[in-house]
Amino acid sequence: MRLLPRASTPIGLDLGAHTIRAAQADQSGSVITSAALTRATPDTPVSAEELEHFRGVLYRQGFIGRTAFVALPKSILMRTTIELPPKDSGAPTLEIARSEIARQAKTDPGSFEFALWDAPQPPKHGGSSRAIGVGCAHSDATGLISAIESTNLKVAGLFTPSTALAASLTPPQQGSTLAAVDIGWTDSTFILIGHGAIVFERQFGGCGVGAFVARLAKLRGLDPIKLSAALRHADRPEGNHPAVREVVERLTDAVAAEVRSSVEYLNGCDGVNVPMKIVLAGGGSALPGIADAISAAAGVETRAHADDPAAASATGLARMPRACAIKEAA
Amino acid sequence: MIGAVSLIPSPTLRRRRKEQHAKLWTAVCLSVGLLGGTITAGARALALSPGASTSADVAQAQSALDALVVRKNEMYAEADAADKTRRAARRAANHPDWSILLAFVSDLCADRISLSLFSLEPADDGSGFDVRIEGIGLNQPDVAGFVLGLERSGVFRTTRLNGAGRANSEGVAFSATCLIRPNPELETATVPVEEGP
Repeated sequence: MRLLPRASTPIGLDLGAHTIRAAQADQSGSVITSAALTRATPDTPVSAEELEHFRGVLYRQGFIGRTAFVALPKSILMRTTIELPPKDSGAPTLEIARSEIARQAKTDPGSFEFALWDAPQPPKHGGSSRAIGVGCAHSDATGLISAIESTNLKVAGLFTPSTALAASLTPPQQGSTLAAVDIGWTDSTFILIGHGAIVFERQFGGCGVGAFVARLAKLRGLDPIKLSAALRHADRPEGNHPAVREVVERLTDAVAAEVRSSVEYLNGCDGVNVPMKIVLAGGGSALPGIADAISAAAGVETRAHADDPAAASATGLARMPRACAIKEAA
Repeated sequence: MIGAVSLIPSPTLRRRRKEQHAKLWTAVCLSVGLLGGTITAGARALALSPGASTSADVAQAQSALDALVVRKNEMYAEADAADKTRRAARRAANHPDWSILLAFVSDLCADRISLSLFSLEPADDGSGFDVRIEGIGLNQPDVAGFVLGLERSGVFRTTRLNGAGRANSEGVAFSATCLIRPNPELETATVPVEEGP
């Protein structure tokens, strides 16, 4: 019998295009509860009504506390690769990066927050230094925070999906690297984690489960909702349908090709940032045969996430106070 | 442990910090107010308790106040007496020449009465004068005639023979009191006595 309430840890909230997921961990990092809500209208911005509905789900699932760490929806995320002066040049790289991101996004430099990752340097890149910038406009972030906080949650952190995924993984040893592929509904994302930081991120545009389902349903004249539902049982006899198999094969081929391309790019860079292992996460990681296909294509050991792969981002957010050094944007 | 950058907009963070500071200061002010109120109430309760040093101070101040009130009443009484004397002196100053009265009394006595005292004192109520006359007459009829003469003079409101001793070899000792009071019929005709402020 518990006399005192459990110590409250943040609720990890992953606002996916197809499914909203949440997880909460205890002080040791073990997941104590999780929840998922399939959205009625995928590929649309999350509405306040959905969040209000999901808040009820959280309450019924035994989530405690009001603090939430949220993964930004990919639809409002700005991602760009920029060239910066070398670090040892003494140039104000953060200001330059902000100006460059603003220029590419055609927005005011003071109207967004961003994070900067040092990317592996490609061959013959000259004296400049390549970096990956990810950010979010103030207006988008404020709207999202307001919608979430209208459900009596308090947003204590707003992170990129890649950061959330990285937090869910066991950090690689010193001198080692680990890659993760988030196979989502709209697209897939490849990230490379070095010691203490994300060093590479690449988005596979169109390589999402939903995108392939919609494409094939349109091509074969099928109902995308039914095809999507059948895809959940792709590894079972009831999912043994030609259309399902076709979606799995096409998506697997596309993702494997993109992963191989990314690994080849990394091999061609400085040779230091080559993944030793690839971890699959996201809703598409459970598709049969995809891990083996990626492993064969990229030549790197590939396996599914040790925890629930679909809820990896939410789990990572829940573990973030323990697994990450959190800081505010520059 | 990997680095994680939170992308919460800086204006939102600034607003939250302001709200946090406001809440903190409100809590601090309320706490200080409650603490001050508690200390004040405790101090007052301690001061008003019997046996506290402040009670002795209050009693001492009360006795000093009582002494001052007594002294004030004494001073009022002295002021009243002085005022009466002042009024009598003023009336005496306005009285007709007393030498006429003395000459009249002297004629009335002739050589058969010898006066040992003739005093003129303000009346107790300040409305006139009391004249005390003591002396020795040759015999009782002389004393009675003297007193009768005083009464008939019309100067005094009343004339009273206080007493007359037995006749002996020296004569008859007597004492009389005559009261001089204003005549109400003549009051309006006389010059009013000037009152003090």
